Amino acid sequence: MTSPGSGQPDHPERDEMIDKYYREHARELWALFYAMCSDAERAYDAVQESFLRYYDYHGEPVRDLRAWLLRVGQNWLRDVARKKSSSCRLLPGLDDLTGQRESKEDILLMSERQEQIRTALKELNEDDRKVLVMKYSMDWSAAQMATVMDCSAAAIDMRLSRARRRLAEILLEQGFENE
Amino acid sequence: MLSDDQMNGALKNFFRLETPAELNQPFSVAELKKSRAASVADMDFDSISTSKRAVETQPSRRFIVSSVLATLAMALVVYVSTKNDDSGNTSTAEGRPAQKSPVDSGSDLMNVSPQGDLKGSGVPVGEDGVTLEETDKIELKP
Repeated sequence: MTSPGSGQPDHPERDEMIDKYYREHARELWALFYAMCSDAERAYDAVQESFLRYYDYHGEPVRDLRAWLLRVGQNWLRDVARKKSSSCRLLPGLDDLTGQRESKEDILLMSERQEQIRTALKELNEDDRKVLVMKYSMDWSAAQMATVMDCSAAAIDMRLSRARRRLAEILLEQGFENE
Repeated sequence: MLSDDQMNGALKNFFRLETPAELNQPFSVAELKKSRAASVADMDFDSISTSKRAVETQPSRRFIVSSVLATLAMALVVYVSTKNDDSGNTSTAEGRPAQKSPVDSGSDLMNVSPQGDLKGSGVPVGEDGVTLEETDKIELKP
């Protein structure tokens, strides 16, 4: 992908381009960062941080903006992992539920299920986690994933199937109960 | 174990809840800078409070000086009281009768001149007035 180059700060065209790129790619970047850290909010922070750094960046023109943002986000995640321990936060989706008719027990049960799957995902290797995130968070096809992971669609299907099965085994060991 | 369909449902539901809703909002540099400034401020506050805590745990110079002075004062008090005890012991000894030396207890010891066996000593050492010099000149013959 070609970058629009390094424009001047506070340039409206550049701002518009960043905004457009964010709308198109923020979710994908989040999924990839999530696969790395297994922390939804931290992955989101990594997305924000990488875009913000690009906004502040005025060096050489960036040839591949996606790769640039990924690298910046990865480095930021590594730095954060060194500095901070993982924090316990309220699930973003559960904030919405609190205003609905869900009972406290339902919310608690859902929270427990989320935590079980999150823990199980952490036990997978990064590539397995990546295909699951791209499949179920972004609803990508095997062909789309294949371009990102630089392998064939058949290999992606195989990896996806294996990752799902392995996750099911871990969840079984944890005593996970589906609704 | 969960079937593939169950896993599909569970994972879709999981990521629906896990994905931050903010990702669907447009990119706002102003908002981002504000949130980043807030997080930086939080980090600064953490570091400041940590360093303040570290300073609070370190003993102050005033505390060290007062501790040293107190120790010196205690040492002086101990020294003075020890000295007083020593002088008290001495006065007690003076009050007591002088102990007899075991040498004095014997009654038939030979008298000796204060000059010992120095030659030329003419001081009589016995009741008969014989000096040590004269005693040396006595020739003993079988």
